[in-house]
Amino acid sequence: MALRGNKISFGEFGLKAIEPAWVTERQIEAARVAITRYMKRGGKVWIRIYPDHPVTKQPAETRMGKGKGDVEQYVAVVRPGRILFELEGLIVDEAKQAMRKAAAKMPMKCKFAVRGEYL
Amino acid sequence: MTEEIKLKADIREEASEEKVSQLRRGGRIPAILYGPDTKNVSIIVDEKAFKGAISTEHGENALIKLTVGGKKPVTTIVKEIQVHPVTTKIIHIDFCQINLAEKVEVEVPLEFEGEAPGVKEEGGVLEHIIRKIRVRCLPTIIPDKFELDVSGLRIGDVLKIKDISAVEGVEILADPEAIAVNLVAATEFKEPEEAPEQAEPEVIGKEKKEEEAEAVEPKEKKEKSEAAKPAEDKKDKKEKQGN
Repeated sequence: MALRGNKISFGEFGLKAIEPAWVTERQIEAARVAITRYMKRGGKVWIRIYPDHPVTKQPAETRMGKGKGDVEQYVAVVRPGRILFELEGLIVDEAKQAMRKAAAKMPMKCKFAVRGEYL
Repeated sequence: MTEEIKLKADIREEASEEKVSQLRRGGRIPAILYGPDTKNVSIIVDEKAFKGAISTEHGENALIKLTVGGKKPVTTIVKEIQVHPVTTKIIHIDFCQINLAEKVEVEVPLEFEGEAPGVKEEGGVLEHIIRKIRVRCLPTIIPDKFELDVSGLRIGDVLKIKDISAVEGVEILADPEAIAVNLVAATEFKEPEEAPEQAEPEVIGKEKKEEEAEAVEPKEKKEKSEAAKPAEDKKDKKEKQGN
């Protein structure tokens, strides 16, 4: 469970992760482009996660052992409840659509979140 | 604001997580009551009744008259609402008993009215920097909300905390110079430009290899031909000797 970064702090709407995952820098960038491309003009986006966790990998066709592999990529460690993106300056339906497109780029299930909602 | 909302609560003896989870599944929320004139009491309130109490015009700053276990009601305010990070269900509430003659510190929401021409005509984005303002006042005069008129804003304009119209008896604790709302120009999305098609780059290593291969081939051929010649000569000699 995300004990930090689980509330909408900057915008009006957000995208919340409901499963744990490692999100790569490419996935974050793809989601950001999807949101901004949908918005075209108007609105503001905040990215609430940052890929700061290094992930190593052994090269292909290598026998196991001989030390740890090299850093291959950086990921953001996401736990359930984490707010991934935030939006402002759009109406609810448009914000939902933009977040749906961003969710499609994420490796885990996400849901649309609104500031200060209690279900 | 003088209206008080009535809410009933029962004393909670269950403290284990398992029992409390069972209560939550049954539509009840665990809570605690504390304050200067009361001992800390673990209580439980009905979820629907509580949501009804905080969904009035006073919001989360509503004065709640809490009756615990049929005893004399105490006037409280909601100090904290804990929400589950994934399901966004309320999991715990803090009620603080207050004295109506003493000032309290609460957060009042800031709302914006009107439509800014900077948004409508110039396509700017209204950036809300402060959404709640901390104030100190008597519990009976807590404002429901503060309003800021944004109908005169153009791109680059800001509204500060000092622009909020003062309410008598309500002391705003936030920095008066702090920016509450900012109208900024929208950043236009540009499609990433595709790199112009270039002629295939010359691969130096590849060419060299090819040249080397070509240079090696004739040598090999020469060697082979030279190696074949003596063998042919030997064959001829043998044939001659046989004859």
